[in-house]
Amino acid sequence: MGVSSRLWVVSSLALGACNGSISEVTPLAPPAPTIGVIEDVPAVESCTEPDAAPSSWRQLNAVHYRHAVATILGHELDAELTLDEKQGTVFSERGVTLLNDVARQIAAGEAIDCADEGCAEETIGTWATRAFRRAPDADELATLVGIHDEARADGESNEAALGGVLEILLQAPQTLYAAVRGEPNDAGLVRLSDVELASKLALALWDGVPDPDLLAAAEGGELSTADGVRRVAEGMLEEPRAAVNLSHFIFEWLGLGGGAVREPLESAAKDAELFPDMTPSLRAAMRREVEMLAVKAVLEDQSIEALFNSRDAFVNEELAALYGVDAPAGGEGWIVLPESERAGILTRAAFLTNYAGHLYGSAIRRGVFVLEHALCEPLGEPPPNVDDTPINTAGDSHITNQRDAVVSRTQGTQCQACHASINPAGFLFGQYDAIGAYQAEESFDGAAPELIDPSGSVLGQSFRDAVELSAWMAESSEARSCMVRELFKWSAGRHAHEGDGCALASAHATLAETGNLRDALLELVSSESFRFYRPEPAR
Amino acid sequence: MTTRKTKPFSRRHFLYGAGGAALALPALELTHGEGLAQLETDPMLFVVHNHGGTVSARTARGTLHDGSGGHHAENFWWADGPGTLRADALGPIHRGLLDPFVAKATVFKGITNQAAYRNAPHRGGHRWSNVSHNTCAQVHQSGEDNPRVRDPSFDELIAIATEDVSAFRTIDLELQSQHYGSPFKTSSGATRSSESDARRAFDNLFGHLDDSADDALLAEGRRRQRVLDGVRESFARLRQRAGVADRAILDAHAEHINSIERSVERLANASACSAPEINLSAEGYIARGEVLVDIMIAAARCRLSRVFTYQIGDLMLPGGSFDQPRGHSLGHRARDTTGGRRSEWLNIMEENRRARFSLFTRLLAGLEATPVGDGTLLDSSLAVYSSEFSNAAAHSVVDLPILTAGSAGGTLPTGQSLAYEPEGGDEISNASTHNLYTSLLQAFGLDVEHFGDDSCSYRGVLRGYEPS
Repeated sequence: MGVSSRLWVVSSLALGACNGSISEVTPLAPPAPTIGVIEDVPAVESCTEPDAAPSSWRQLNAVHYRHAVATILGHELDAELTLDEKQGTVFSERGVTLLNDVARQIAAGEAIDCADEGCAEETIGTWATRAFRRAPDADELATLVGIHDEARADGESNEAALGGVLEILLQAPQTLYAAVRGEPNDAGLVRLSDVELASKLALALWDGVPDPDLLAAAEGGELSTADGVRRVAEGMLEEPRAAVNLSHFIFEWLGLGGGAVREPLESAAKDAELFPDMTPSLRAAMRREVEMLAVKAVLEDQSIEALFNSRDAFVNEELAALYGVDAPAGGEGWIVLPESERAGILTRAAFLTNYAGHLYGSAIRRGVFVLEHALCEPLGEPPPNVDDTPINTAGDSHITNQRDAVVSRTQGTQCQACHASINPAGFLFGQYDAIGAYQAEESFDGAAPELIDPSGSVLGQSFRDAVELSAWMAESSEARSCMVRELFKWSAGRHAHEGDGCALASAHATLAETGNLRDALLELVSSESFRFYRPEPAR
Repeated sequence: MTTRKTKPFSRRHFLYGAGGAALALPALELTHGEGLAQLETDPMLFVVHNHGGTVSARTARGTLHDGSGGHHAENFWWADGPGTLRADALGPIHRGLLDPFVAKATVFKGITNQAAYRNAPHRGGHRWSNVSHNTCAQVHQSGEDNPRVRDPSFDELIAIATEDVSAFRTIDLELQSQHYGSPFKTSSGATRSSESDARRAFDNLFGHLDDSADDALLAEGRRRQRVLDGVRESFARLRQRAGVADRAILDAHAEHINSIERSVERLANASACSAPEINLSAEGYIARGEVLVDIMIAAARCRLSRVFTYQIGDLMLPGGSFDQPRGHSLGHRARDTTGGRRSEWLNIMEENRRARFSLFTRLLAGLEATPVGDGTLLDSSLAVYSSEFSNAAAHSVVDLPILTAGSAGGTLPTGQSLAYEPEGGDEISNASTHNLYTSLLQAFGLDVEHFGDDSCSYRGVLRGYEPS
């Protein structure tokens, strides 16, 4: 079944769920087709022919751009740059306007050491090479020099005229997009040039732009083969930038940066009376813990098992108190969490806080995350008439715990199309409150305290609680396959499309065999899908 | 009557032709089918979008509920009618607030966003409804990406037609809260960003008014234009190497650059106007919204733009009893699925929507208090208030809550309640936003026979709301 038809079935099942009648919302027509997004990953043995997806130029995001600015200038910038931190698939008007302002701000503050005409062209050439991550061609250089000359003719000083050129480079599309041209090969694909590949690798592994060493390696032919790319990528993963990038990846995968209907971890609303200890520094400690665990699991332990099942935690005093353990000597460091309460990243405070309401943990949000983002089981859009208000049981004395409240809210036959899966997955996290503290019993909505039943199931398998689920996920083929997709999305800056299947298959085979996330990432960035693209058909 | 300024030919004009307007126009010609004519009148357009719908009895399918079952089956929007709009026959949201303006307003019943109704997976849905609400355009969705359009919203066409006569092509403000995407789109379907910070909005709009046009200022203007020329030239060059998909993205980006460049150019020629005195430090959601409305009124009085948009985010206010910092859930709650609290939720919903609507009537009052010729700025303008949903609980794009005020300089009828009912067993009426916006565009002097795609029941202006 292709992706379009599968999603259509899911959507149809979801329609009318939760308190609506099916006839009320039966659609006139199937949803618009989803174009070319890969659903089924082929068996690695069937990948005998080179394949790649069509070209899609990656745009620099705010993180990349800050790196690019430092590279262009040749030094770090002291000033804060106000950028569009949440840009989507295209630059927004706000994002472009902010870039325009930022370029002016940077150029105005930059001390340009070039008082006479003699050094102007050289300065422009140096900046352009750093900005474009390649040498500018003759036309590009002539245009920039021409604009400098126009400014001089208009009475500007040489430094001011150069500042104008710098402004252009800081918002030129050649700077802001990782454009590729490449060279066609016999297999009908186009191979990225080594320099283009260097840019793509830097975005994937460093969340930034190539440094002079990487560009030199590219120009020296070190990226001309898959093995060469892998060797260079291995070296790149040794850099501190790679650790920052991977922690950022895990943070975004967990959705801790917020979304359309969910606040970021830093501002997730919590009831101040119930959770007086929920301070900004505790939130920062939660974030830090996730980042540290991500780096440890991917780069140090190199193990997906560690990600899902480790009890190691990097905590400060506040976070240690939340976990109910002694703080490490010195106030901050690694400790081991209680075996019966914690295992892996899904039982940590950051995740549990973000997937919760302001009063209680949310079985539904946690269950949806596990299914959709940790196991890549699509649930489709919630139906239009879903009731997503916080569960409130006022006036219903039969409901005395969250589990029963969730069941009550989602008991309709049509709700069960999705909630038969969502709820049992979410119930496994019932022993964590709205900020991730462990609780054996709960006092729900004013009712007398009750022991919590954290049992549930995922993909047809029953588990005692989230700890047992985590142990299963650490070994699960489904979780590994999903993690490969997430790694692909992060490293390529787009969803997987037709033509990317063999890259996914190969990385999945690696992860299934070794559990090594680092190797899976290396498999992706040295794949044909990464190094080639499929040209548009001639029209 | 306003005339376009003529400018001497320069490299800048050449670039506009090569990489600027040329990028935008093909999309307009392709899906909206009409060229743009010179404006012969100078009305202003104000579009207020209230995110998250309101309360009506019409479901996503068009069914009119009778008060039983799971849908709230209430009408908070419609005026009694059809016919002459009377203060004593207004819907609950308008009652009292709209009274001073009934002779200058038109309340609509039965208009559907047929682009979403006929094509969207759920006959709507948040994002699909938002992107199609003002564009009436075919929606594209690739994989897990959000739905997108490749066409402008109707206000953008008016902005394009009037851009040479205003300091700001558009002025877009937003009372920020949760929503699922702006309905205001550029000619390539990219989202026009809105300013939600009152201080920044004020400074951007009025900051230049105290500056004298000295040589240094003029030189700075030339420098900024030179830089933007260089950036646009870079786009033109890179575009030649791009495939279809990448080219579309570059075009949308370049359009934003063009927009900045035009603003720089216009600012240098802005007419003299005193910066208004507005207290920018208001606290509270509606109070902050009022400050933004006052900024919009002041900008209109200075004629800084001819096209103003204002988004009201979906926040649950007033009534602090609801325990979520966002408001759309209120619409769902108002369906009263749990029993026993129906009237309480509906009361909160009504109070909430009235508070939001009061921002619109504050705008009307400001326009009405501004003399223009023998009438007022409200008479010579057109203000539109709408939402992407009618029945918020069902995400219904049927029977949308739409209201206009002003006559665009006497070209549109006012003082009516216009109702469009389903006929011949149809689930919805044949009136679509396509037709309404066609009427508005013609009222603004644009030579457009039909706006939007062909998903609507009939082409052309809205029957009963034809511009004279």
